[in-house]
Amino acid sequence: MTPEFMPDGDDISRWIFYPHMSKEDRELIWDNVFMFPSGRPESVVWRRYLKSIGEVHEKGCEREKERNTRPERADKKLQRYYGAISAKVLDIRKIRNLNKHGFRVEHDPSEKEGIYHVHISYDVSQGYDFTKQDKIELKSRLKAVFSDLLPHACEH
Amino acid sequence: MPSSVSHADQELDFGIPATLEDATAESATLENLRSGYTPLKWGSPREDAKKREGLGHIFDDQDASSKQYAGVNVLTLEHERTRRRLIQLIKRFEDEGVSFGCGEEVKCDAGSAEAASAFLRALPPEYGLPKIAPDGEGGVILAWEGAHRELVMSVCDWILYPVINPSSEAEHLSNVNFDGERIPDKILSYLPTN
Repeated sequence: MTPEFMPDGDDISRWIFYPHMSKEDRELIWDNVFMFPSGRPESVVWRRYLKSIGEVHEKGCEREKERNTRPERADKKLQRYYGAISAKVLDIRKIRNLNKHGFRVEHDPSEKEGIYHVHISYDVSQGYDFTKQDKIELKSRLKAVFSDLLPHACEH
Repeated sequence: MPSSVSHADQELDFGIPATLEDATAESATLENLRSGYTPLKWGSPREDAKKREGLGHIFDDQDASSKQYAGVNVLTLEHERTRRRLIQLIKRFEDEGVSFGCGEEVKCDAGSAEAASAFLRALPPEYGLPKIAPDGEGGVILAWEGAHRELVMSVCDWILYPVINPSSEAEHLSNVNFDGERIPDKILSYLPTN
């Protein structure tokens, strides 16, 4: 599969999963934050290929089922799909802090992840330190450009 | 409570103080809650009375408002329960990790989890409690949002990395060492109060 150019005006969505936990505990979490574990990209889906929110939820439910039945996750808590949050590609690309760091949004299709798979990754400006404070600021600003959760409960 | 109270009555426990007396007695366990220690469930009415007597010195340390009004006590208790739940959740981040997207769970390292828990224990009760998340690099994010000024910081190996108003007009504060006991004044001055 060949990556395509993603226009600024397109939308992306992020599936939101949570491990099994009480509603009270969920409310204590700084929710929906992108963690970029060890600097790695985060995955979202391109709405060009999943046009309706119904399609996004359908794939999210499939992912929940597939993930929870992986043998290597047998000893882990079940993950539940709760819905999706969405944003415009341009709003993410526009984020740039005083140290000139920001994000890249790039199509990253594969057989495993699907043609709709997109990566958001740090776009680090050369010549400037990239501090923990930079990362906190970028994560907060990224969180802020996404919509509220469009909730969903899988039926399987 | 009459000594003839039935066994079934003693078993009922909804986690909410039933009377003003109970609420006041429960507030005496705030220090235990703050330290993450779960006291044993109280037993017979006689044992209850003994324990209440033994906790008298702690009542003296409470401020007047929390002694006088059951409503204030319950609010304070709720605050302390939330603090305890946050500390338990940080332990869960360390042991199991958490993931909000479709990736694998992200964990906090032991030193950062210990430092973040110590920060929450050291936070005076008049300050609001944060929301939390792993920072993706072993640390714990503490986020105070919704106030007129936001503070989000990462706690990583006993160092605090604070940012004021990160989602607009961000100001990066310099790194601050945390000794595990006293929250630096520089940080306290940015925290919202209840």
